[in-house]
Amino acid sequence: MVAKTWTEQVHTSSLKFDDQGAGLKRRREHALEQFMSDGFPSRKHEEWRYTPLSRLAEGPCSPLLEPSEGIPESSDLPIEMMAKVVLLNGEFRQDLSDLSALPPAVRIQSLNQMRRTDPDQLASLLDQFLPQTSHPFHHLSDALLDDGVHIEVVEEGAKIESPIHILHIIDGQAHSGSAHVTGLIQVATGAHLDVIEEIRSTGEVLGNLRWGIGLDPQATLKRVRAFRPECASIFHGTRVVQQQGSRFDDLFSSSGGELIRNELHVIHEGTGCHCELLGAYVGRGKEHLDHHTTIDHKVEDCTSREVYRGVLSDRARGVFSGMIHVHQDAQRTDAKQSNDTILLSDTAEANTRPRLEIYADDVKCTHGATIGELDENAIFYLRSRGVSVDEARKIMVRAFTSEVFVQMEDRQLSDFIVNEIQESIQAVEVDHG
Amino acid sequence: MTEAEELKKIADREYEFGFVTDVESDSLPPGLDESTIRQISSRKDEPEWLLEYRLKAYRHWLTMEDPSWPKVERNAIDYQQIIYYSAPKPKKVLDSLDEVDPELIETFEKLGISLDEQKRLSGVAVDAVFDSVSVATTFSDKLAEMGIIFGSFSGAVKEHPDLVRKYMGSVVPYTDNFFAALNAAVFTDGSFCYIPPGVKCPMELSTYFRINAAGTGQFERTLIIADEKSTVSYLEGCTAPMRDENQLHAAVVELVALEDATIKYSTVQNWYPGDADGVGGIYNFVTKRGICKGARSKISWTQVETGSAVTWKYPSCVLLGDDSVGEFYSVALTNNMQQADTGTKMVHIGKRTSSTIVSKGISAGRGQNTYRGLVDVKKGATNARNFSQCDSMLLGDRCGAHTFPYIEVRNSTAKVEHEATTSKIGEDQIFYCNQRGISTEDAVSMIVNGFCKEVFSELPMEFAVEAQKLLAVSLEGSVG
Amino acid sequence: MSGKKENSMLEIKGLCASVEGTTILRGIDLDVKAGEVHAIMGPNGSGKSTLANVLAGREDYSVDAGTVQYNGIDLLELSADERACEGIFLAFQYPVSIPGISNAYFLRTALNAVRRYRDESEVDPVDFLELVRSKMDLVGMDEKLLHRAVNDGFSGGEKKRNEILQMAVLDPKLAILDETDSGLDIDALRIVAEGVNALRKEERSIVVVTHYQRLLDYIVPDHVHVLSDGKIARSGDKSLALELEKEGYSWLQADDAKAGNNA
Repeated sequence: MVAKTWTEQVHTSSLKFDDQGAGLKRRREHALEQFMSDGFPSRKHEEWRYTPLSRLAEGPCSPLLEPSEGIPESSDLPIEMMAKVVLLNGEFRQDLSDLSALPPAVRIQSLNQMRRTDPDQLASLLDQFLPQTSHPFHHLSDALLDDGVHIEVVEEGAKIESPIHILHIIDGQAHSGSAHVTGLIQVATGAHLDVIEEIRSTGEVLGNLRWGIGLDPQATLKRVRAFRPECASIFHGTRVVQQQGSRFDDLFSSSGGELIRNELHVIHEGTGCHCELLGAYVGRGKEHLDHHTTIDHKVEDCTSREVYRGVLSDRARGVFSGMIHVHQDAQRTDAKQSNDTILLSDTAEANTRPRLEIYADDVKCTHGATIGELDENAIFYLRSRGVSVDEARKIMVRAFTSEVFVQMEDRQLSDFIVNEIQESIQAVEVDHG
Repeated sequence: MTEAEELKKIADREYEFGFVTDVESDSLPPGLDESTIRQISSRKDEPEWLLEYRLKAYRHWLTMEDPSWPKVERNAIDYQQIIYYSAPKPKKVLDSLDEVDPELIETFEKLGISLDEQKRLSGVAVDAVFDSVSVATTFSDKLAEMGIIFGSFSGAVKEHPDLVRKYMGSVVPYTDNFFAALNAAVFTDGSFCYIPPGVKCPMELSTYFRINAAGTGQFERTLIIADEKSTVSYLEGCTAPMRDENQLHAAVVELVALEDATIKYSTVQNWYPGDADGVGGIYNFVTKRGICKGARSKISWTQVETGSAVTWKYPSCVLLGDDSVGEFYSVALTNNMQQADTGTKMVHIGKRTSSTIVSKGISAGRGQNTYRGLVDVKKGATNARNFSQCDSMLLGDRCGAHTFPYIEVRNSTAKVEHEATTSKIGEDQIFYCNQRGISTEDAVSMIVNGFCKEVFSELPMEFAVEAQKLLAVSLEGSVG
Repeated sequence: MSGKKENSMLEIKGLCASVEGTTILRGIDLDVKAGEVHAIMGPNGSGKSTLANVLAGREDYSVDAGTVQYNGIDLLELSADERACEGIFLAFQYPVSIPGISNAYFLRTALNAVRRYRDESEVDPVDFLELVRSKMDLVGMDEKLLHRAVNDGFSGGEKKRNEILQMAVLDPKLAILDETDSGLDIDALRIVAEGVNALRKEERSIVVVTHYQRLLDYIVPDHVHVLSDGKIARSGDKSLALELEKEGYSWLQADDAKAGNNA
């Protein structure tokens, strides 16, 4: 299904971009062709059976957002950062960013600039970290590739002490539209990098954000994602390729957003890798929160931990689809996955698909999933200590989501996120049913 | 012997029920069209409504596509090459066991199923189905005294048409899926069972299925109705000869439990699995579903799946009545080139409905074993409960174990829990057994049996022993 | 059976063994006669448990040199289960759990495997239960444990008692107790030791592997050997154990250092 508005808009916009190198040109042409023929998938597609794309497919967000000056009001995250990258309606804004304290071990540049100065290198990086697959939002981001960011820790063993803050602002106040951002992160052997990615939005917009990440041997990347959009549709996809002994930590949190689809694909190419995928989300109103994770254990002795927790109220819908794929050579894989959902109302809905696909025999793989209501015994316990029902429920919601953040070192930031999650739940009356 | 050698030996095991019985059979030529269906119906002397039902199903089937979503690889089936009707002669109605072809009696004796009522020590009533036709039913007179109807499906069509007409297709409509439609069009026989209100069936009811003739498909239908406050335990076993071709088994089983009724349905499936290279073997595509129609009713499925080249089945429960209970206990073993995609669907509709799923998958050789299950809690299912436990064990490094649960919840008072683990037999476990004098072969068999214990303990005593033996044979060892 | 050493049950000569390429045993010589109790002591990592496991036939360990004669047969030629059937019993330091299989079923399967090997008739469940019950008092074990899965959810003490119960039922010629005292409080230790003592007899040899002397207060050994760096550093009678208790193992390093200097 692809509405005419989308095909027309994307076609016109795509052709306006002028690519320097053959590689970029080929990617754009291929993606455009694919999008024109496939459009958005229907619910019959197994990977999209729970995702309601019909409103999006109607096309209100099909035009590209114009450059904007306004930054939506929102409290700033309490972080001390090394550098700040601001992407406003998809455009890397040097004027709003702050790269002054950046050490020489880290290089940050805009993709728009790379497209002009180094198109062949960009094309080869994209081919390496974001190979073209059959995926509607990937088609869109490739067909409409304009700007984004390339972050690279170039110095082996460099420990970058404070995080780089990446702020996406998607401003649809003037009119609806979409912004497409491509990001690349490379961390050199033995180096360490922290990244905090934040999304803010206003108006009816589509944010299509896509990351390709490469971790060299023994490198570590810690990423915290705080999604704080108002009523946007956010597609956020990440593909991570890990080399020997590297580590990837990802903490996803969201409070708000009309439709959020969070996709993570982690590929362990080197032995002894570890990844940790954590997520906490709340849904209210008619929000739809969709999480799709795949961990490809391709080689021996890799480990993964995955914990996603959601609280759903009103008519919100939460989806978790997690795949652990243990390939034949991936002996001694140790993978644990869990997804727990709490439903606060009878009109909320949770769909969970924890999946294991295992082709090696010497492995430890477990997954667990629970869906239920708040623990009535615990609520009773709190009430017996003088806490009101409403307060007790809020405490329980907080306890449930904040367990995900236990391992986060930055207490200040994690408290801030937990508070924001809790507040967004408090914004609606907790259902007593 | 080392574990690796042991596992190889396991992978090389032979199938012991692969003999062919030499009986004369009355068959239709291969192929399927409306006239085939008319001929099946007329040979079975069926009423007009049933022929109409078959034809409707056939016309619907023509509009459907052979499904490709299960995680299995298989040859395409040429539906025009299958013989849809094959019955051992004579096909006249039998008055007593004396009239059954001695060859047939011998076949079932060989399979360890005695049809001679006098010889039976334990009370198990058997309906023997040979190439889709019921050839003998034991104890039916004794059961009839209690009002229990147990016998062939065709017999029930003639003698209890109202019951058959009321319930047939009510749980699995012919529109349900490709193979259910095919079955509805061409089914030849099967078992029928009705337990009247308040009756506790005093013995296990059992159907034993045997595919014998070459080139045939087996399309039986089983319908069990447990009326209010009644209880029945039903067992199903199956074997087939070794043949190079893939034979299709597409059965439909429907269970109806009314208020306060309990149905326990146990299967030990040992169809021919094909040879070590994956040549031949049964394609076992079965639709099994029960409906807990009345309040406090209960349906419990237990299956031990060791045979078939490809198994594709999801015995399910529709929990409609308030406080009804659904259970699914499964052991599936895939060895050599066998593939199994099996699991269950628990659909919670009534209030306080609860379901339990315990699945144990064992993969050996190059076998692929998939658990696929759905727990669906509808909006009205207040205080629904589900607990699922799916464990996989891998024997060897060329097999696969996959777990694909789907959980869909639309009620906040529901409590759904799912757990899955994957493991192999620990070398320390084998060494511990060895050190106590137990050979590696016996140790593997013992540990696998221990792994399956929660499921075996759900089987009726007699079947549990058979299942353990079967698993041990499948694992080329002996337990007990 | 060799005529020269009429009552030698176990004769180890120059035994070297390694795990995944790391050499652990570097030439062990040991002679255990029928009816004797030998204690093998030594600091952590000296190779005590390796020796126990090599004798029982664990496949992860490879024997690189040396011979082991057991009642005149070449023990190293036999698989682990054959050794068990020949009468070698290893009480595990960490008994393994087998979920789903009851303790009673496991033990009966083991007993019948051993009996079949000896061309004896199998024991039926009724006689078996009688036999086991008669042995249970020996270790003060609750009959409930018989019907629970093998070592599954057992406490440390229950596991060790269960090992001694298995020993009593399987009636081995040579019992090797690998750190049977570890993880036991003093009462449990006494019960387990008393069980072992009750099983001492003329035809049975026992090798006790332990880090601490305290077990030897209860199971009094005829010979004590101190293992260090994969070799027997010293042998003596029970007084050697008491000496170790007082002085610890540090003198071993001192001795080694001296030996190193001299060389």
